[in-house]
Amino acid sequence: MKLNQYIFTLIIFGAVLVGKVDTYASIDFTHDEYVRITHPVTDYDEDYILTTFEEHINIMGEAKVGTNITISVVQEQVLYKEYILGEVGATQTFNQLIELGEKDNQIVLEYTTIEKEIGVIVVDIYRQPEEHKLKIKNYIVSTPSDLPDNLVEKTTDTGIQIIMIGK
Amino acid sequence: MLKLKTIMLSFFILLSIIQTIHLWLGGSLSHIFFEETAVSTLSPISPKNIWVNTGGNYTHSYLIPNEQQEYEDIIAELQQALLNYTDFTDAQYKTQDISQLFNQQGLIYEYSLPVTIDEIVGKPIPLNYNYKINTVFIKISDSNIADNNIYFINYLEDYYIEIILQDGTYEFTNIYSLFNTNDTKYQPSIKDIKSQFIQGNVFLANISNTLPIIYTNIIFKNELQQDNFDIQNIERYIDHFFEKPIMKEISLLLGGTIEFIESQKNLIRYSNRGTIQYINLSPNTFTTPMSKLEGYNIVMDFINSTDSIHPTIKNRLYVSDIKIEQEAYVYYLDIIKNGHTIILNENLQTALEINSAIEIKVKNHNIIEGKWITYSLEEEYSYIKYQFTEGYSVPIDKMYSMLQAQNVEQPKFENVELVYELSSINKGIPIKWGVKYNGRWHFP
Repeated sequence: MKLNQYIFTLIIFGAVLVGKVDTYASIDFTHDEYVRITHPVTDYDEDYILTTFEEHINIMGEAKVGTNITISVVQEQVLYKEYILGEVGATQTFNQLIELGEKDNQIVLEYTTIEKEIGVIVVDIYRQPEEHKLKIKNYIVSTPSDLPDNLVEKTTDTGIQIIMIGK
Repeated sequence: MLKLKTIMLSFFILLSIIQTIHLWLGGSLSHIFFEETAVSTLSPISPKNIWVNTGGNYTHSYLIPNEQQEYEDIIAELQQALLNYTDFTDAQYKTQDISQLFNQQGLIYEYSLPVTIDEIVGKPIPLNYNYKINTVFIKISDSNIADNNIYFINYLEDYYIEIILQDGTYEFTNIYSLFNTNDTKYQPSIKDIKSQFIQGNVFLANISNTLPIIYTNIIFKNELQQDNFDIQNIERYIDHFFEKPIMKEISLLLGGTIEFIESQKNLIRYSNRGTIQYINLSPNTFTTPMSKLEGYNIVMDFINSTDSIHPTIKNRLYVSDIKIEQEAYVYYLDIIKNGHTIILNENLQTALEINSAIEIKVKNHNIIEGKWITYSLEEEYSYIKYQFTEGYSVPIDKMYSMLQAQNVEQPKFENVELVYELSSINKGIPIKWGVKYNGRWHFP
């Protein structure tokens, strides 16, 4: 009887420990990590440009509960669109449909964690102008020189810069 | 002279025979009296929604409206394509990643309950197995010469059946271009980070402060409501259910219910709260087997034949469930307006003793019983347009949080949709997020 009681308490104890996880268990963050963008996928080599023909894309990611997120779309140092997402909820996921301007866009994701720490993630996305979209639809491409400008991959420095500001 | 006459006569007789044959059996200008009778097909079960999916890594979907019965033609096109398709034995059963299908451009027919391929086509199809389908995805190829693929998807068991339509002379590409508008964008949940919380695939309205959805409030009214029981007014709508309307007996029951009985034949119960119930009292002696699809057609004919179901509701129905009860099929139909489902509030369901807008029980090709609401549906007039700005993350997060507090781990939602909740009549109803979990709707 005593042994049973012992096992019983052990099970309860274990359940309490497991039960302590009150957010979606399969999203894990390391100590210093607060926000991740999962879509569009961003961890490529440095000489890869994220390119799209779409005017609107749905940015999705994971973040710790209570993180306040704002996403700005910047073109040539000027703010094009701003999206205030507010606090991330219990699912630890966020998403925002953003509008891209033509050609170069800087997607600036600013976040404030629940401990009042501030961080920024910047992603560069190149949106093909509408005219190229039509050209592609109607062209038969036989050599790279048939492609409109900027469709051939650049090898200059672009990519993600994660900057932690303040502590 | 006589010989010539004989020849002429036989010539003309022969000519008339030939011409009659031509007239009756063929030729481009003939009246073909002996035409092969067309194989009759039933109306297929209508999908709840039809979507245009833009495809690509950043795919989103647009809802094709059905306010002017646009769906009829789009459904007929699929039916036609499948009727002409003869190689169902070549259909491939695949269990690969279903979410990848949504990276393709296409038309999506979303069914509110699992249907078989027979029920999608309207006619029995020779297949190895009676597959249950949640969604039909028609892949639109980029060029006119490439084939269109059709995928029949089952989310619950994670498989899809693929067929390749070789003859590309269908309207699918035109339908795609026509409805590839710039309206509210929906995110197929299967391609969203929130897919882990949602069963199968659901179309999430992707709205926010910068991209709100404009909507109108709706109002339900009870045209049949009688303050002083003007029976004649009610009779106008229900007399057609009776063989001899004059012979029917009328009795007033408690709680404002009027009962009209034609002994051994038909019974109508009218409730002032807003329902009419029909019961077929004739003993059911025939046992002609009936398929679910035949029953569905009988139900649709029945609904169209009665004015007691308001015309503003008749054209906006979809089958939300089909159950089997005592060897009969019970069809539950609900209303969808401007692409938003109308949910009956649970208290209203209890008060009216009804779970869906229309419930009809069919057995052996006969309507056994039916119950429906007598309300009419209108848009509330407003000189300002209402905007809804809350995105789909909010209700999902709230529901998730609420369930976590009740120690439910990793809940999966059946639906996350902007709905109208009908709780009372004569009041403007706005849209709000509804989350269906465990068969019940929640409004977090």
